Amino acid sequence: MTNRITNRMMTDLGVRRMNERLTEFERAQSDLNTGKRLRVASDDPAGMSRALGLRSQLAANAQAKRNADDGRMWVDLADSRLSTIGDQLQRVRELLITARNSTNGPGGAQAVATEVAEIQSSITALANSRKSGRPVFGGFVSDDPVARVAGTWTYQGDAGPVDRRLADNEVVQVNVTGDEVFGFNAGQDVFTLLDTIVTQVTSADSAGMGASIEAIDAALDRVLVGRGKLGTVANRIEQAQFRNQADEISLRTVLSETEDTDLAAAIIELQMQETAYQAAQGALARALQPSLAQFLR
Amino acid sequence: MDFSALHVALSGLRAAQVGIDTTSHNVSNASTEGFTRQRVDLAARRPRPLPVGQLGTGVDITDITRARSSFLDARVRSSIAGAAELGVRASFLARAENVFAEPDLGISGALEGLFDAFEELSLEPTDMSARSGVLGQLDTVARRINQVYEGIEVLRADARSTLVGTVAEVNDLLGQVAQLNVGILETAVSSGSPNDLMDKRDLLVDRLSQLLGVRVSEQGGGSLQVSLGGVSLVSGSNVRPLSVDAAGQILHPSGLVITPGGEIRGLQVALVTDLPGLSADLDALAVDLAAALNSIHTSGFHAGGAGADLLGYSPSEPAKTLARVLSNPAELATASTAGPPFPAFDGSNAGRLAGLRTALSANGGTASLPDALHGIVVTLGREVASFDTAAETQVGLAEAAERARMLVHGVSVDEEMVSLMEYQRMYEAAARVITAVDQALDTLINRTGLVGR
Repeated sequence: MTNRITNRMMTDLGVRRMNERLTEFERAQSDLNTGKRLRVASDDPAGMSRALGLRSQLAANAQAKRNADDGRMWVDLADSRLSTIGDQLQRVRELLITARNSTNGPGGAQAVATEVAEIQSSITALANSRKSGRPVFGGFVSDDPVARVAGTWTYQGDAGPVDRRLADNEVVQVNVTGDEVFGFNAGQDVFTLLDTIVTQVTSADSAGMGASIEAIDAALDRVLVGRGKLGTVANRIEQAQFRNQADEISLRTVLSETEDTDLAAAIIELQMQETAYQAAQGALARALQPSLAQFLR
Repeated sequence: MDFSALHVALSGLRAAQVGIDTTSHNVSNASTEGFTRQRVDLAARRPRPLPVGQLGTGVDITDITRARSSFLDARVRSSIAGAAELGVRASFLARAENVFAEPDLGISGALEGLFDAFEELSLEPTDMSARSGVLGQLDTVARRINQVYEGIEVLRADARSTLVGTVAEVNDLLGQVAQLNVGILETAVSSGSPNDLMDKRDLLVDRLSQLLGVRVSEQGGGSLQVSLGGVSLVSGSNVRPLSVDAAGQILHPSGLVITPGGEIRGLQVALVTDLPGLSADLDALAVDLAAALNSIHTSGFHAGGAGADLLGYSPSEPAKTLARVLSNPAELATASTAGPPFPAFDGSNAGRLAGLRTALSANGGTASLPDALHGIVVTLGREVASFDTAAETQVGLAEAAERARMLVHGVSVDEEMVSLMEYQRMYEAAARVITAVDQALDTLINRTGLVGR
């Protein structure tokens, strides 16, 4: 059969091909305009699956960063409070040594007792310090962690661990409780000890003061152990922050590779599609022109 | 010399006139949809026996016929039915994909926001703004799920009304085919082949194939039978209109359930399988989400007691009715223990709620909630992409078939110009013959017997 080419067919085909080119042209243009290669899942289902997973990980990562920052504030605050408390206990130890060896008489002893009592109230305030309304050394309870209840020093908090998620499977406890750092759980809390010291200094009980120096050393050790714990946590948080930052950069890179338009390739594609579209237009315009009717007279 | 030569020439004149008329008809309809080019069939008349041989008596116009091939018609019709079915399914799924609006405006963003809010709450369990933040995000997630579900419902309603409308159009087309059957039968009996009516009917059958994927067979006398799955829809002047039942099935007046093809099949599958599948996926997601959040929340405590449910829904349509049921932000159960004293700063239960970000709590404990949602979106995307490709292939086939048919059926203006010249020359020649005979007769009648005058 001879190939008959009919006029309707030529126009129909030409218009269709031109529309195809225009669709491709539009597609190349919107890739560039939006900067996104992936707009709906059907553009690239495997890519969209990856992109959704990456977005999820990025959100978890951003939250982990906030958790780490918040944890860091807890640790730093507790550490600075414990550091001051340690200094003050050190001062009590010095005062005790002076008082034990002193022959200053009742006036000097009274001055030491007053200073120890002041240090006690200062440590009490530090032990009850709060971070945005929340006791730093009190676990989960909102009352002041340390108080004299009916004449007895009492720990009113609990052992609640303040946990922060640093990464998917890494949770750290960012608090220490007054129970352990102030010796309540060992039955030798530092506040009762300071009461005893005031009595001993006033009554010049040098044997008692000797025992109290050892007790103060034990209290200092407990504070140092607490600070050591916080230091370890601070290290972990710092490492987690580094990791978090590195993860974010790599996640963003992969997400961008998955979702975003490769600009150089897209610009070349756009130019190619534009040329192809113009060529299709030109071809159709020429194909529609000639007819035998023009040559018959 | 007799006068037969005049009659012979006259038959030529007539044939040339009909030829020019037909050519003119073809050119006029060069752009008419469904038009088939027509040809004048000529045959030499029965010759007259003379003692010395057979003398020709001129030309007869035997018929004016269409250059149509039913084989090519069948090829076009089967491929447009397939293309239409896949195209309709692809378009509904693509619209569903837009309803989901992932990744930027969809459920996944709201879900991430909810987990972030829980995690913030676990950092600051007593902070009222963190608490109301959680309630706000619960609303956002529930509303997004509601909206997507409603969007799918709109599509289902649309698929249904389109299905009903398309079946009505099919019934109308069937009626027109039956009317044309009658017209064609009458014309064929009285005066030759009714080409233009047949073109009109073929165009209707093309459309019927696209909509319903019908089969056609010639009956006697030029009448066309339209059938589907062995059941007759049009036979002669007899029409059997179809109807749609509540379940989206296509019913024949005989009560038979018909398996359609073409667009109606695509609409039916979208209505009965594709879109309800998405609704069911959303329902499952809503149920899993509510169950996971509620079970953790009710195991925790707030200052006033144990936690209550966070989300609620009506069991018959979970995704549509999913809503927050906890109204007091102070009743968010952030703590894992009740006390006393109540651990006001214990955010561990909020932390466990935030842990649902990765906990395998959906699809029967095989996927996390975000992964379950991503699964729905990506599966839908895969379907759209594969249907798009399949539909494109079918459209390509349909176009190739249509082109092959146009090669045969279509009007070529150049060709018609050549025919026009042919017939014009034929007319001029026949006229010249008449002149020649006339001159011969003139010689005989007026100039004979004048010798010697």
